[in-house]
Amino acid sequence: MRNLGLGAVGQFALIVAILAVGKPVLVPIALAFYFAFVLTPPSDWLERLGLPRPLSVVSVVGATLAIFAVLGSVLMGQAAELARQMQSYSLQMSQKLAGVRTGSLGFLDDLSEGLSALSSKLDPDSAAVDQTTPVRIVTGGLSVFRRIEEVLGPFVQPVALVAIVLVLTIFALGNREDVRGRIIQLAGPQNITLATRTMGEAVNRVSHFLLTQLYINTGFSAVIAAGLYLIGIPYALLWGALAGLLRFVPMVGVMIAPILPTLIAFAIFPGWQQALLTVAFFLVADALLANFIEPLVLGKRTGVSALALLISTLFWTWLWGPLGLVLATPLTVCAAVVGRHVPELSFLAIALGDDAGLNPGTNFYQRTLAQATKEAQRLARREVAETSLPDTFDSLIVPALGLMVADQDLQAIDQSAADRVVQDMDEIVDRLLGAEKAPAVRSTSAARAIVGVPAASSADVLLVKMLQVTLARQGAAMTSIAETDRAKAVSAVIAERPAVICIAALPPGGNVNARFMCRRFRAELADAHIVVLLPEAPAKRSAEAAARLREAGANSIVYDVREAARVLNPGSAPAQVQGRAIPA
Amino acid sequence: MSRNGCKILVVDDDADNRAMLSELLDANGYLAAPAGNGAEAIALLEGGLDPDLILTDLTMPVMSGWDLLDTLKKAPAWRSIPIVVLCGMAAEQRGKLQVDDAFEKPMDVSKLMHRIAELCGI
Repeated sequence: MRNLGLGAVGQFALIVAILAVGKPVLVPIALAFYFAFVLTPPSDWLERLGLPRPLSVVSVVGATLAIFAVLGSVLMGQAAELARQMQSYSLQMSQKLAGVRTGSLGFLDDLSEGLSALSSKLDPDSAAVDQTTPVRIVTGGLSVFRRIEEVLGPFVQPVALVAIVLVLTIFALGNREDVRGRIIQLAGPQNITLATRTMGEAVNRVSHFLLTQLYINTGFSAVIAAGLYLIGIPYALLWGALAGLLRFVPMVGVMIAPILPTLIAFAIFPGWQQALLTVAFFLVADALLANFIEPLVLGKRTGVSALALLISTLFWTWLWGPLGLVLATPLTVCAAVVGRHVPELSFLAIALGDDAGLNPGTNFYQRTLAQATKEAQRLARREVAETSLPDTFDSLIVPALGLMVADQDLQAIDQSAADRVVQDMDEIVDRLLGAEKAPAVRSTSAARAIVGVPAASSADVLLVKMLQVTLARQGAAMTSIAETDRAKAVSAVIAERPAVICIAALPPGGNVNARFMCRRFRAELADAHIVVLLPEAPAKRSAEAAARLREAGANSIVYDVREAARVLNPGSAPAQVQGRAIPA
Repeated sequence: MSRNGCKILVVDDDADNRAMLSELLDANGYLAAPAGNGAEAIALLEGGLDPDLILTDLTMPVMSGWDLLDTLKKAPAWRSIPIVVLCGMAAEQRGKLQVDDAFEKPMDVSKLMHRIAELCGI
């Protein structure tokens, strides 16, 4: 985004102002694209069946209008009947409420009347105002144009909006490739790939979400209508359709839907049973849908976090009113997708996306760095419970060590802070082990003796320890050398005369010592199998670094603790994948 | 001479010395990467050079050997790289340097090569 010299707050205010002022133009466009998103898959399907584009668009839009017309006429009929009955319902409700008041709540009326009497004595003016006769001011007769305006005025705006949205939807559907091409061109020739990818994901996510939501909400309408019909609530079809429509409105819709049918149930049935049954039915149906069916059908849903969606719903409703409420979800999804692909707008993906704020390794490192050791430990325990101890080493602790080294390189933390972080992580590993029942370690024959050695730092010592634990879980023993002076470490390993050696070297600082050790071991222990554990994310792995280690004498280069354990102890079964809970 | 796979970063502002050391290392199977001063050496390291040893002079323009040593010791990525200093100072002063070894110019070439091999693990 080009900087206008306004600062972040100024730019945000400018965008909000444009959205607010441009509401009459932007809302129809947004609604048209909303419908185009929903209608594109059926239109595509008709085209695949051989229908030409104009015919497929007309068919889809026509069918949609027909469905709306049929449903609308049925629902309008029910709504008109309901309106006629409203007076009778209102009377019944008043009688019932009066009954309630004279019963257990009668004292509230007495209290209210008492307070009114006291108030009129304290303020005689207010009592006098109550006794005044209202006067209606009648102006001269209205002109013909004023009358037309008065009668048709309220309908002009919605009808015009519907017409504009209809035309725009047909245009967007009929010329969707053209619209896509223009948007991609607007992004500039240098951004064609980015714009294509962003649009593709936005279209996929929004279309998938809206279509699936349409199916789910239609099903919800049917279930609600059937349920209310069985309970005996009149106009069940109307309430079902209303509930389905309201479910498109995030958060608020589901809360509003049960109100009217519950009031009707309260009015027409003696007692509370049907009213309570209606509320319970809505609650159960929505809970089942939201917690079981939607996660199953929608998968990762919209890619937007629930909190972000709620805030975004408030924002769009404040900005564009009820239509903003309806458009909130697709607009937020689009904003999150754009943020995911455009680096300058990445804050949108962070603020709106449903990915966790920090990945587990980063979160664990951040907690350890902040000396929140207990919280870091809790994260580790949870990871162990969800996966396994070796998996936790690779997914949490090793990445955290890598982040620590990166921070040291940037001089973001000094050596003492790094030492403390490693020490805390070492203690967390000890606690994870302490909570576990120690596995039986079989004695390894001298011919297959394994020795683990750190290449350079205390972090490498911790790597060796984690490898030793992983091997022990497979029933294999490994002697570890906890020496960070490379010459002394080499001597200690050579004295063991092992068959297999594993050098743990956290890159990049460990590389040079790992090569030194490989050369020394190859010279002194010609037959030893040398494995170098070089924990590095796939994107950062260097083919050159691996080649130089092999040239120095390494037999295998491995990139995580579990892989190292498999190479060092090839006869073992794969490390346990299923985790088990470690008591707190 | 067959290659031994070791890379040596040679830092010296004297072009003749650099060339002589590079030729010597090449003749002993090493791959030499020359730099004219500390700043050039750091630029090479930042560019991804991963040497097995650094052979450096102390008195150099732009960035001296002292400053280079200081920078290397502060960076965890470079802290483990063995360093051999070539300088004109006496043995007792050389001992104060926190490096793996130091040779007084003009140095005994065979001793230097022996020490380099030792520090590279050959």
